[in-house]
Amino acid sequence: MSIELSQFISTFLEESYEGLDIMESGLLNFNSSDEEAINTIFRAAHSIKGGAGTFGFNEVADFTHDVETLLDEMRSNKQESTPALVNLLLESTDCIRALLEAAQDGPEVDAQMISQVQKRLKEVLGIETESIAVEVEGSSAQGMPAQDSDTAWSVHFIPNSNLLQSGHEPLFMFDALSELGELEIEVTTDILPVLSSFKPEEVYLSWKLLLISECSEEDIKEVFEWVEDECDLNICVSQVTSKPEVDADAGSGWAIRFTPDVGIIQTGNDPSLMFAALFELGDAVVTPNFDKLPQINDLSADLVYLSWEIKLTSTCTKEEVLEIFEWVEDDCELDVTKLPSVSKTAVNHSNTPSAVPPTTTSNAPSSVPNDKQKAVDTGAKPKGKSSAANAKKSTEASSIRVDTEKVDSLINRVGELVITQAMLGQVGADISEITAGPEVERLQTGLELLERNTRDLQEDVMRVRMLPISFVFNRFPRLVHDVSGKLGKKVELVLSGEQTEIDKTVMEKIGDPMTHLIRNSLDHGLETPEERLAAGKSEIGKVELSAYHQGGHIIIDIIDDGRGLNTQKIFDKACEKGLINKDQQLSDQEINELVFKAGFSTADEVTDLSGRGVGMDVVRRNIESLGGQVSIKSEANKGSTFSVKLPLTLAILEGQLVRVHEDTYIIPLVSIVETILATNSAINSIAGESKLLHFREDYISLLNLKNIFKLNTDPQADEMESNLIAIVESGGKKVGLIVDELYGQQQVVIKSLEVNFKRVEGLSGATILGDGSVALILDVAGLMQRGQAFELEAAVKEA
Amino acid sequence: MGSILVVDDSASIRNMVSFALKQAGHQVTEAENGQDGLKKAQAGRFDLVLTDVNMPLMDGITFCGELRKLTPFKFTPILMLTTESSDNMKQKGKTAGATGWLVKPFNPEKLLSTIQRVVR
Repeated sequence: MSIELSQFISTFLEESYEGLDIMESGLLNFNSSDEEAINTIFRAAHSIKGGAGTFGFNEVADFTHDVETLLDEMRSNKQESTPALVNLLLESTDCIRALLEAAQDGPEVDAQMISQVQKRLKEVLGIETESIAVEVEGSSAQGMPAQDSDTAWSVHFIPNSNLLQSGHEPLFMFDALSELGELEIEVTTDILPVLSSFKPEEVYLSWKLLLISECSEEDIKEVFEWVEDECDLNICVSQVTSKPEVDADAGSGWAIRFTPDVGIIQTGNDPSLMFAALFELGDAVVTPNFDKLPQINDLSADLVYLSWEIKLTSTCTKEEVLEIFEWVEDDCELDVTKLPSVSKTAVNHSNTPSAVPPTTTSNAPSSVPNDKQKAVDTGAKPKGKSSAANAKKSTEASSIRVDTEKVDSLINRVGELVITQAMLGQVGADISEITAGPEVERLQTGLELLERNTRDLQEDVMRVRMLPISFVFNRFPRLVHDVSGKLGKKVELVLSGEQTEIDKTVMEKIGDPMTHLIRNSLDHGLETPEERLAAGKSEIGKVELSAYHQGGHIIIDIIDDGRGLNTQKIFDKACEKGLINKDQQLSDQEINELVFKAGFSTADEVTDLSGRGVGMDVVRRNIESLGGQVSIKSEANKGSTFSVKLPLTLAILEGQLVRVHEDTYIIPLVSIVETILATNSAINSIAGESKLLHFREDYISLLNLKNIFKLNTDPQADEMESNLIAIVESGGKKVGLIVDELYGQQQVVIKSLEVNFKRVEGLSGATILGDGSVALILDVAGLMQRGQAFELEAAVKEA
Repeated sequence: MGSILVVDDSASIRNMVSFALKQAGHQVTEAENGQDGLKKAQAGRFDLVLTDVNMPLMDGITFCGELRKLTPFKFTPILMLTTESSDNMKQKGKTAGATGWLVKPFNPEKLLSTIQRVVR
């Protein structure tokens, strides 16, 4: 059966990114005395490595291996957890992330960065890259067929019978020899006494060893160095040069003596299953030995009293045989020796003392107590019932992962439902106006219920898209750590309201502007430790991120306790840049707002931190494109607060319905400053079609929507202009929109114009009203641009 | 065909292992860590337990030791899914009562052939 692994990869990637986040936040709050914290970091790295290996991300697995090793050394105090090491580990998480992203069709990795970090990891771990290469070569050479330079050493080892009493163990010596090369062992049992005179502490065996290795005679002698006085040792170059496996004929096999510890089945290992595995390697004759079987009354179902001798006829390697016993090698005595040929097997067999004649078993379980245990076990197992219970258990889960497309489609559907519901509501209202009766009342009740349920449904569905803002906040501890390090400032970051929920789309788009605002606070807002001390503050600056809900909006405050905005400097700069006039009288608040103007930067030199060629004007524009606002409060030497106000979702908008000519338009409520009925004297016409409104010591330009959208069919009607003006604001600029009538305010579901029609400058979308008619939603920023272009056009025409 | 408890904190590995086991006709119950595994082990009967070593709340070694103390699990094969191929970890596992181990990374084929050694 082949199983496609690719289906698990997206889960692996997701959990790896989560793991990286865990590592990162753990490292940022690193405290070497917190054992659980470092264990958590270690586990995350460990899981990434394991998954990466399993799903074929070998580069990730290799890289993470060193990270894991370092973490392991840190948690076992083999490495001191210095800030430098923590930084190295942070860089490593970046590398792992980059490798994962690259594997996921992301940008190509910076191979130099990876290898550089990897080299540093290896240096810390004391691994030399060169020595690894050599090691790999060495170990692979071991597995390869004998080279020409190999010598076949014949070693005849006849220990004295008291060898064991001096603490020596021939098996260990053979182990050491097998490390030198390919080892074949043949045991000679000629002097084995009859059982009655057998002394367990004495050695009756001798061995003929064939070692194929590059080693010298001295190397072999060294293995036997400590026993050379207690044995006869004969080492010579053998005439046999080829490996035993190579010339092994089909009839050869293995003699296996298997004496398990009595408690073996309590480790879950079942000898009969091991034999079954042996049968898969070839023909096997299993001979049980009942010598240690106690009286029936003393028999315990938990214990194994048997031992076995198995003759396996197979061309398999010794490793394949040993693998079957791999898990019990410490729980048994196991002796596997080569049977050179079938005929020799028979001879050997006749030499072994065996009380019971060999029985050829194909598959039958051969352990009596074990069978008994099995029977007891299955008897107690209500299989059908347990599996049903298991199936039920496995369906339990606290959360599910769903494709965002599915959620979006659901939200869209609900949006349609809201519109249909509004239409029905309108019809219901119309009907109740012309007629009355119990049916109409019932219809009204039903419609009210429908409305309530629809709203609830809409709210619930919207909530599905909502995620805690911590997803954005989580990236900032790292940012603050890195940036403050570069600036040489000491900064404490305080997060609050991380659980405040916000729409996923808004969240994805708010990350960059937030990053910019925080960089700005760190770079321009906070002072250096020296400056802070001189100003009588703690040398550690504080940046606070706080999120909370406020009337259908989410507010994110970025508060620093730095020097505050320098109004004089801002004023001078703005004059210099020609943004304002020198003799303009501005309040401090108005001056502060200037930092959001395009082309404004007070930094004496553009640092690579907050500079980056992006001004605060771009931040404001990005936030406004999300239907949000950004404002600023500042007090000299106390600090500044940037407040970002965002809609909870982009799918619904609070709108003011207005009539222009014969059509209904929607102005986003968030951009309306106020609506006024202006007196004729307040409106001044200037060159061309442009009009200005004198509004509270200020002049703001007026935009006639009729002209902009070319709604005017009758040029004469232009004279009869409405004085109803909605003053809207965007990008710190105000304009007045001339409208004919104000309707109500309502929540509207936004339908994209781009998707359903095409992009239109000045419009952000459309919605369907209760009566089924379409209303266009105005995009204030776009309107301003369109208005400017329109005026320019008109001015050119005039000229 | 057996009933198998799979304990691993990594969802991708857990999914892969249980998918492979289900394909081979086994009943699978999943648990996210030792604590969860112990709870599920007590609620059901299993022919085999596969457990990761490094897990939050309760690691695989502790889990294995706790499981062995329960009478129904006295003889149940418990395999450790371990990335540590070091003898140290195997030894710790054996001491806690593990039956055997399967070294990560492994593929589904290797998994199925290995568990044949303890479950038929």
